Amino acid sequence: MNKQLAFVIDMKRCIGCDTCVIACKVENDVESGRFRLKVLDSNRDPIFEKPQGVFPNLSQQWLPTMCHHCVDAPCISACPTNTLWRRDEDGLVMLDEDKCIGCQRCGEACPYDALSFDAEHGTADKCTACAHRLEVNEAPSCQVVCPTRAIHFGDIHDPGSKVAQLLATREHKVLAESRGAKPQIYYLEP
Amino acid sequence: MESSGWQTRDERLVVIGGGQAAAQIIDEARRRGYEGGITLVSEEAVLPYQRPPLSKQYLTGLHDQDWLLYRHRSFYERYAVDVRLGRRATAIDRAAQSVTLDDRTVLPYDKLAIATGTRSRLLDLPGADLPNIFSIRTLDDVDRLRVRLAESRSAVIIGGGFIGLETAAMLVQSGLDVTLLAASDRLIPKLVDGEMAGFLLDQHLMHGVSIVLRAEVAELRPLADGAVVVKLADGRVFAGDMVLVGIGAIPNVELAQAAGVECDNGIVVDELARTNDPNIVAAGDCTNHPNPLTGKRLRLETVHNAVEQGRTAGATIAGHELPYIQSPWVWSDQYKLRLQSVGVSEGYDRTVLRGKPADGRFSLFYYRGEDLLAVNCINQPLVFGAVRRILNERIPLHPDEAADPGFDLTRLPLPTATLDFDIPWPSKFEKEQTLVEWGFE
Repeated sequence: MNKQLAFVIDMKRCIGCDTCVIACKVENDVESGRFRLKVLDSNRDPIFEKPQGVFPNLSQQWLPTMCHHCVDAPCISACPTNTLWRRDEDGLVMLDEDKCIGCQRCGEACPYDALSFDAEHGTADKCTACAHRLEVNEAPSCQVVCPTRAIHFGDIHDPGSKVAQLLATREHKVLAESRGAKPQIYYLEP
Repeated sequence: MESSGWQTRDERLVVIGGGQAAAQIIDEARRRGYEGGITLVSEEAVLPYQRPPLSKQYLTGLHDQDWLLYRHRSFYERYAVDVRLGRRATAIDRAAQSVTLDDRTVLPYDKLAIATGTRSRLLDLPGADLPNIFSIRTLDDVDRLRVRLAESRSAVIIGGGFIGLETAAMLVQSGLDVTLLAASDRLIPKLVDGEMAGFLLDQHLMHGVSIVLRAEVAELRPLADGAVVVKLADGRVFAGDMVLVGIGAIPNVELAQAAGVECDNGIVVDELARTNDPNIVAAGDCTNHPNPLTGKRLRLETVHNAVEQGRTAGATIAGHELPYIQSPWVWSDQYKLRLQSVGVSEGYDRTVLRGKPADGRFSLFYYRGEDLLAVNCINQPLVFGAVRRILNERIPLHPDEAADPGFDLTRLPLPTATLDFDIPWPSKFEKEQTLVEWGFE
């Protein structure tokens, strides 16, 4: 079976500190106003955090989200120039800026709002799971910096991997499963 | 979908065509669960590829063939597609539900998809068949052209549309003397207003392209060393080591027409890409289709049309309905300019300018009364992206708002993704309540 790289995010551990957001921006040189990775709160707002419930019974969840590297990625099917494509060897959805014509169909097609648009260069941009770091056997920057070890990344088809073990032992869900994109960010129960 | 677990149903889809629409039909049909066998028949010797770079990056050898492929080889393997390249479909027998190929193979089908595209319109003039006169439609065309290009110092381009202008930009930047002959009194008359045409004309002149408007080509004559002289009806002559002809395209409908599929400036299809035969769909440049947003029937030679109508046709084959209701758009790269255009400007009564042409970043909005019909953008991709969605969602945009660069078009109420679990996790409080109720506390 082919490798399938995926993120597994432990919602019990995420404290919404946004360290991953900053690490991602620094690592990938993402300018102000754009994101490859966002941490949403319970109301799905990345900035104003408001707990759910009525005092004193309040709760709060955070949801780090980036490109979900979907197996049936709607962005690939909407992209008219093959800028977006799925890498056979590990299942990552890649983006070739030099092919992008700036039509922004991908942003419209993505169920996860994972594509941003670099107006300066006129091209789409998104999380590549730090593919340039993976090449030199380094983990994605968001995973490395997470102070609570909430973000895990690895091959879910390898039963010995940490991510496969987490999925085997903990309850998990994906976002908007009904959209049918087969996303590869799995969220462990909060 | 890791491997080819396909072809589980005794049913067959035949796709005729070698462009993006053909690949997209297969992609969408499989994504939506079509489980029959699929055969792809293409006249060309390569897998379906993208044509736009042929007059841009590929022309001057910046990229290789693989770069052009719309879907890689593994796609056809994964989706278990029987690919027949270099084979031409010669006849469709609708009664017997079969397609005959030029090697006399007969392919039976249950569903047939026609994505035969267009072919270049050729000059019908004395001397039009001389060597070193090229058109740009297929990889083969450009590969032959590139051989001559390597030994050319000058080129005459006939046609002031996208192909002519993009090629002029590429060739003049590679150091050739370029003369462009346009039949109309301005460039790209079908798509852009005089103001935009004037801006593009200035850009080409500034880069050193000689442009002759209202040029009626009368004859082509050979010169020594394979060069060609183009003679106009008014007697003026222009010589070049090579001549490039970009005067439009003709839809390839003969195969469909001979089989009795309804054709009228393209294969006539409905919003679901269905022809008058319930087992035949068609998509891409070769179709004449309704556009509910403009209330017109259109035949478009654009990548957007090939890709989106291809998706619709693929969905129809898989038994789903994905109506093709989108504003048409197109783009063109010339020098450091990206022209993006969306909508159909036909019938406009005024234009509204946003930004300054002198800055090299501006947009021209086409209105009929207060109805926005179309927009041309130069190096303003965010405006283009927003307007494309505004037109698709039929959101009103007042001309004063359009003209005001301070008015943020992306703030209009465009639909956004809702990021949520289908079934939300129970909140911590609810969990504790459950424990209390069950007496665990």
